[in-house]
Amino acid sequence: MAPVVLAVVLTPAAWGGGLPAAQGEGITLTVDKPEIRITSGFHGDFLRAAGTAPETCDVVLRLTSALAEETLDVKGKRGPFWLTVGKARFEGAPRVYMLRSTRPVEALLQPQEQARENLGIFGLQAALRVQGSEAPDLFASEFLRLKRDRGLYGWAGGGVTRGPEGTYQAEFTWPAHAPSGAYTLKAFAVKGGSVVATASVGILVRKAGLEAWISRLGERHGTLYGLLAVLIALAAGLAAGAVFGGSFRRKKKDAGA
Amino acid sequence: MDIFLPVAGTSINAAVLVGAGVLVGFLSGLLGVGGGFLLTPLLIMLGIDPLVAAASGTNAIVGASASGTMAHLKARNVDLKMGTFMLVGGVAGGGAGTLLVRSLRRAGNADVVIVLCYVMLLAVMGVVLFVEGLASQVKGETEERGESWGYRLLQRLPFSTTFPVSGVKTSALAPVVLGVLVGVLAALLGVGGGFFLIPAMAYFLAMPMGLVVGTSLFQMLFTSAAVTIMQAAMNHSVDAFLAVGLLLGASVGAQGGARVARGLKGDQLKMVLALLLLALSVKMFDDLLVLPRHFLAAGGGP
Repeated sequence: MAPVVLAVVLTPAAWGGGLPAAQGEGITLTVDKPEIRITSGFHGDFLRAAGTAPETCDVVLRLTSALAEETLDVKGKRGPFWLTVGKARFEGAPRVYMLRSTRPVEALLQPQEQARENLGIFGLQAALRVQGSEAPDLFASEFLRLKRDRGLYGWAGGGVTRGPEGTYQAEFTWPAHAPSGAYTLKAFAVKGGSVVATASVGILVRKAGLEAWISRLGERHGTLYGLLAVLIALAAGLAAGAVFGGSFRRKKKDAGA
Repeated sequence: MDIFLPVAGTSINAAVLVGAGVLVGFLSGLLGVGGGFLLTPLLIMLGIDPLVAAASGTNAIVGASASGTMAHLKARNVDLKMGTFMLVGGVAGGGAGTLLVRSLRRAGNADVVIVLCYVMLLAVMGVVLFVEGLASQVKGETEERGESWGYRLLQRLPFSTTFPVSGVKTSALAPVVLGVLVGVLAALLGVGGGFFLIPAMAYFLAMPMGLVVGTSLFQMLFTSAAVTIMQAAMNHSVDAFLAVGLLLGASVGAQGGARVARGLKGDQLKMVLALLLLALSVKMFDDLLVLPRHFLAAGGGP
């Protein structure tokens, strides 16, 4: 797919025919696909981002979904078993958060700066609010660890490579279980401990084709979906019975003859 | 090739999915049991949510029992009156079971309860199969027929009804209660319930063995169909992709299993598989006791 330019250049860059792009403080950003379609064969994807930024700047790329409230079960030990003993609500966190950078964010920005720009672990912690817990800090770090282990959060950075004439590129691995919805990829040009320019691109992730139809039917018309699932299973079962049962009986007869 | 499972919300390798079906089909053909009780734990081990595993297993059972039911209906091996009484109980029990799953899910403990039930079920199945294998090693088949103690007990219940096809007279409550139990098991565990129903029908209802298999399949088909629809409506936990993939594998595997069973000495095999079930039970139990990697988990909402 041809690259689609959706960059918002905050600081005007010196664009000129044949001249290297993005002189000055500006940053540009393009992605190789503005839309990721979840179809029956979907098993994750790759999203490639590229652009230009001044060679004197570091580049940080942040991919996030919209913020979502999440209620999670809190596990505790009751007798020998680990059971759900309560609920905790988490606000101010996206469902997906991934970071790519030329150098670790900790080396580029002070914690308060990370918190303000919502970058890195400090940025995540600053935005996250925990309800229903007496130990919000512990719960917040456990929440982040859970998300990271599920492959939905990554804040380690790295992975942005610089090319000639101020270009940069990076690749995001898109997990198959990342929820569908609107995502934002934002590029930050960082220099001297602060963000000097940003650009962002929207990415739409949606279920497509049969996949979309089935999950919509399942969510909105559960009874109809169940009926359909029963009919499909019946048809598959009867077909399999006809194919295998028939051939098997024939073979047995042949063997007996 | 990977398939994205729309309800389970994750992708699975198609070969792994069909392979799981083949394995379950093979074992069920070999052992002469339904296989639903193997299907759900296998799906759980493949990383499918226990609720989705159980409900999709029920969906697969609809297909798995379809052609058998047709064959038994054609051969007039089904006591339709008895089957219908059981079916009424099955649908009621299935509804109650589905509601139970929903409230357990809200409390956040559906997965633990399902796994714990499986620990017990697999242990019991393992012991029964082992003893069966051992018994027929020691002596030949000893089949007791006639009026059992259980049959006489149930006859004392009210609503005495005659079932002419089976040639028995028993309380109408007996098949309904059996149906209820199977329905609850189907909703909670995603099993057909044949392992429990077949001996119970022979023992408590004193039905002739020829009718027991056909009638239990008949009621299993309709109960699992009803439970599938209720699970889809109430818990949104039926993944049709999962069910069809398993069915395809299982229908191939069952043929192979039945063929191998004819050529092999069944009793030793039965005992080996019994030990396998016991090991699986211990493994699942152990998983319940292990300190979870996270003290937070995605749950069924507030």
